[in-house]
Amino acid sequence: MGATLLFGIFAFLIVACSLMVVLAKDSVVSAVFLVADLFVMACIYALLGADFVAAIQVLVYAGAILILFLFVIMLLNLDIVAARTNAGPLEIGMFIVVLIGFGILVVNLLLGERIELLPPGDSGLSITGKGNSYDLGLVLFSKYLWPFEMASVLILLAMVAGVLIAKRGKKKQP
Amino acid sequence: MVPFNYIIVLSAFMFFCGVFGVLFRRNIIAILMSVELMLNSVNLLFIGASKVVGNLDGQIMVFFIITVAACEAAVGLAMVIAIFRKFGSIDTDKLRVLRG
Amino acid sequence: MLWVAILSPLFGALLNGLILRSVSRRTSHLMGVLAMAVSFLAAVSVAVSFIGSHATEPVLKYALNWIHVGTLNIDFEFIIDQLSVLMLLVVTGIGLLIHIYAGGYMSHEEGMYERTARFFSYLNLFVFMMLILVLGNSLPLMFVGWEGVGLCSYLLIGYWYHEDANAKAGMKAFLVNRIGDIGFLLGIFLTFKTFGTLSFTELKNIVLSGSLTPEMIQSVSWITLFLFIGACGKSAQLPLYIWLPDAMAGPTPVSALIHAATMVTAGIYMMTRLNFFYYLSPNTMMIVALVGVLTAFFAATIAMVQYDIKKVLAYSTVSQLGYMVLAAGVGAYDASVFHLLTHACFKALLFLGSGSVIFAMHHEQDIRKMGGLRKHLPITHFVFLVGVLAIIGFPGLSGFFSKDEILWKSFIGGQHMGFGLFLWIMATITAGMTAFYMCRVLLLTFYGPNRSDEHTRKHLHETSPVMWGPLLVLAALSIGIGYLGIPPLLGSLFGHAESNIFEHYLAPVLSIPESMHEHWAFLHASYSHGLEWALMGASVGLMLIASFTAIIFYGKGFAPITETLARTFAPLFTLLSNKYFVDELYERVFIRPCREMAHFLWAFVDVIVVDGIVNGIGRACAFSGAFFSLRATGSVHRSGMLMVFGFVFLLIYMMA
Repeated sequence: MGATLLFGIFAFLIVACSLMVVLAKDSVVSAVFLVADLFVMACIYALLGADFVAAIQVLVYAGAILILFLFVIMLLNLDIVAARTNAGPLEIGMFIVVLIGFGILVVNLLLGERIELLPPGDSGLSITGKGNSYDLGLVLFSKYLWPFEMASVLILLAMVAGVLIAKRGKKKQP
Repeated sequence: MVPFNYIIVLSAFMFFCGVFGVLFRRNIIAILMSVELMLNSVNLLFIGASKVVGNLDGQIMVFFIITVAACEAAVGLAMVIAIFRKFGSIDTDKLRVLRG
Repeated sequence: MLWVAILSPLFGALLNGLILRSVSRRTSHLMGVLAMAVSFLAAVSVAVSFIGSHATEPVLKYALNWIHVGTLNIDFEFIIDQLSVLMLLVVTGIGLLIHIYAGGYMSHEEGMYERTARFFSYLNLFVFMMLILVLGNSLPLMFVGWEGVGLCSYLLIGYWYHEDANAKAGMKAFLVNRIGDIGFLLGIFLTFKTFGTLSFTELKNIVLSGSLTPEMIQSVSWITLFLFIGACGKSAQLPLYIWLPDAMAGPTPVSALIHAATMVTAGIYMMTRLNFFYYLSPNTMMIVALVGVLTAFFAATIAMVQYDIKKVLAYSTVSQLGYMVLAAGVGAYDASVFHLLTHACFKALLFLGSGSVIFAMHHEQDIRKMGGLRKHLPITHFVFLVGVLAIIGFPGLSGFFSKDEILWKSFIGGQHMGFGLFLWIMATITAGMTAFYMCRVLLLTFYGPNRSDEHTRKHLHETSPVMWGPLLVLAALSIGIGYLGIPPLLGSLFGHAESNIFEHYLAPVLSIPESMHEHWAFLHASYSHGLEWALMGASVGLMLIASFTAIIFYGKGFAPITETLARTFAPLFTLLSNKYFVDELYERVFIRPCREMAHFLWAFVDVIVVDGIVNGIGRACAFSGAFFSLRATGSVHRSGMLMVFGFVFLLIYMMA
C-alpha cells in the first residue's frame, strides 16, 4: 500500500518534470528540471529493488552528464532561443498521429491484461543474500564481462572523439 | 505494488515527451536533453522488466545504457561546441546548410 | 585452268586497287591488261579442252563449301558447258580488247583522276564478277555475280565523281537494278520452296525427269516471271531501262564493256540458262516476247532524235536487247544468244569507235558539232562504218545473220502463239528505224561539212594504235563471227544444209521438257522456203530504204527537209527528244510520294515521337531530380519528424 502511494507520488513528479523539460524556454531551466527528473527516477529504481543502479544514476547521470550540459550552456553564453520551431501543418498533422498512437497504447495497457511485478525479496532478484551491489557485481563480471570491457573501450573512444571535435583549429602565428 | 502496465505507461509518457522535445525545440542542447529523457524512459522500462522476469539482466542493461548515454552526451556536446564556433548560433532554424 | 581464268581479274583488281594506287597510268593499264590477257588465255584453254572433248554433259567444278543450313545447300560450284564457255570467251575476249583500248582513252586524264589505277581495278573487278555470274552453277551464285556487276557498274559510271550528275547516274543504275533484283530474289525463294534445290544442273534434271506436279508447273510460271523482272532491271527492258541512257555519264570504255557487251546481257544469259523453266511457262514467254518487242520499238523511236552520240548508242543497245528478249520469248534461245554474241562485237566496236571520236574531239559528244571527220579520222571512220553496217543488218555481216534469225523465229513462233505477225511487223519496223538512226549518226559524224569550231578542228588527229588496234580486231569479228550461224536457207544454196554451226553448238544446253514438246515443236519444224525468202527480202528491203532516206536527210549535214519535218511534227519531236518524259513520270508517280513519306516519317515519327520520348525521359529525370533535391530541406526537425512517423507507422502495422 505504501509502495503504491509512493509510486504514485513519484509518477506524478516525473510527469510534471518531463513536461517542464520540454516546455521551458530557457535551456538552463530545462536542464535543472531534467536533474530533478533523474533524481525522482532514482527513487523509483530504489523502490523497484535496483539500489545500485539508483546510486549510479544519481552519481553519473545527474551528477556528471547533466553537469556537463550545464557547463556547455554556461560556456556558450547563449541568448534565449525561441522554444519551439515553426510547426507547419505537416508537422502538426504528424504529431497528432503520434498522439493518437500514444493514446491507443495507453488504452491498451490500462484496460488490457495486467502483468504483475514480483514481490520484493524474491529469490531471483537476489542471488546471494549480500545485497544488490554484490549480486550485480557477480553477474557483471561473469556473464557480462565482455560488454563490460567493451564499454570501457567505448568510453575511451568517446573521450578522444570529444576532444578532437571540440578542438580549436591551429592558429596561424603571424 | 503497481502492475507493470502502469510502469509501461509512465515510461511511454516520458518517451513521448522526449520525442516532442526532439521534434519541436529549436535549441540544439534542448534537443540533446530530450534524447537523454528518452533514454531514461527506456531505463525505467528495463528496471521494471527485470522485476517482472526475476533476474538481474535488466539492471545490467540499464548499467550499460547509462554508460552509452554518457559517451553520446560527451560527443554530442563537443559537436555543439564545434557548431557554435562555426555558425555562431545553435538555433536549428539557422543551421540549414544541407538544403536542396 | 578455270580458276586462273576466274581469279586473274580479281587479282588484277586487288593489285591495282590496293597496292599500286599511286603508280603511273601506264603501269596500272599494263597490270589491268595483263590480268585480262592471262584470263583470256586461260579461258581459251578451257574452251578448247571442253569443246575438244566433245562432252555432252556439263562439267562441274567445285570450289568451296558455302551455305549448309537445314535443307539449304549451296556451294561455290561452277559449270562448264557450251553456254558458259561461250560467255566466258565473250567476256574475257572483248574485255581484253576493251582494256587495251581503255589505256589509250584514259591517257589524257588530269587532276584528281590522274592515277587510273582505280579505273582498271574496277574494270578488272567487273570482269571477275561477270565471270562468277556466267560460270556459277546455282541461282545464288549467279546472284552474287549479278549484284557484283551491278556494284561495279555503279562504281564505274560514277567514276568521274566530281560531277554530281555522274554520281547520280551511278546511283540511278544501281537503284533501278535493285528494283529488278527484288523480282530475282522472289524467283530464287520460290524456286527453293518448290524444288528444294537451287543448282542449275539439279533443277534441269528434276524438270526433264518429267515428274512435275501441276502445282510445281504453276509455281514455275511465277518463278520465270519473277526472274524475268530481274532480267528487265539488268538488261534494261521496259519499264526499268531508264538507267542505261544515264549510264553514258561514265567513261566510254565502261559503256562499251558493261552496257553493250556484258552486263546487260546477263538477263539474257539467265533466261537461257533456265530455258527448261521458261519452256514450261508459255504465258510468261508471251509476256517476255511482248516486252522485248515493245522495248525494241520504243527505244528505237527515241534514238532517232538524239543528238548525243553516246545516247544514240545507248538507246540502240536497249533496242537490240529488246530483240534478244523477243527471241527468248518465242523460245529461240539460240537466236537470242547468237545475237548476244554478234551484238557484243559490233556494239563494243561502235562504242569504242564513238569513244575515239569523242577523244579526238576533246570530249565533245554532240553530233551537231561534228561532221566530215572522215578525213581526219580515217581508221575510226572505217571501223565505225563496219559497225554500222553490222548493226543495221547489212547482208554479209554478222548482224544480218543474227537479226534475220530473230525476225524469222519471231514470225513463226508468234504464229503459234497467235500474234506472230504483230511481233514480226514491230520488229521489222524497228529494224528499219535502227538503220535510219545508225546511218544518221554515221553521216552526221563522219560525212558532210565540219560543224565544229576552229580550235577543235586544228587538233583533230587520228588516235593511237592502242586505240584503233582493238577496233580493227572487233571490226573483223563483226564481219566474220556471223558466219557461225548461217541459216539453212542460205547454207543450202551452197550445199550445206546443216550450216548453222551455232545452233548445233548450243543445242545440248537447250532442252524442252517432254510435256511441252508439242507446244514448242514449231522451233524445229520445217517451213516453206518461199516464206522465209520473202520475209528476209522484206526486212532487207526496208533496211535499204531507211538507209537511203537517212543519206538523203543527212548526207551533207542537216538537210532542210529535216528542219521542216521537225517543225511540222513538233509535238511528236518534243515527245521523242525528251524520251517520252518517262523519267519525269516516274519522278511524279513513284519518287515524289516516297520522298514525301520519308519526309513525313522523319518530321513526325523521328523528330516528334522518338526524340520526344528520348528527350522526355531526360527531362523526366531532370525534373524528378529537381523535385527530390528540394525535399532536402536540411531541417533536422523534418528528418526527426519523418523518423518518428515511420516508427509509429511500423508499430501500428505490427500490432494490427
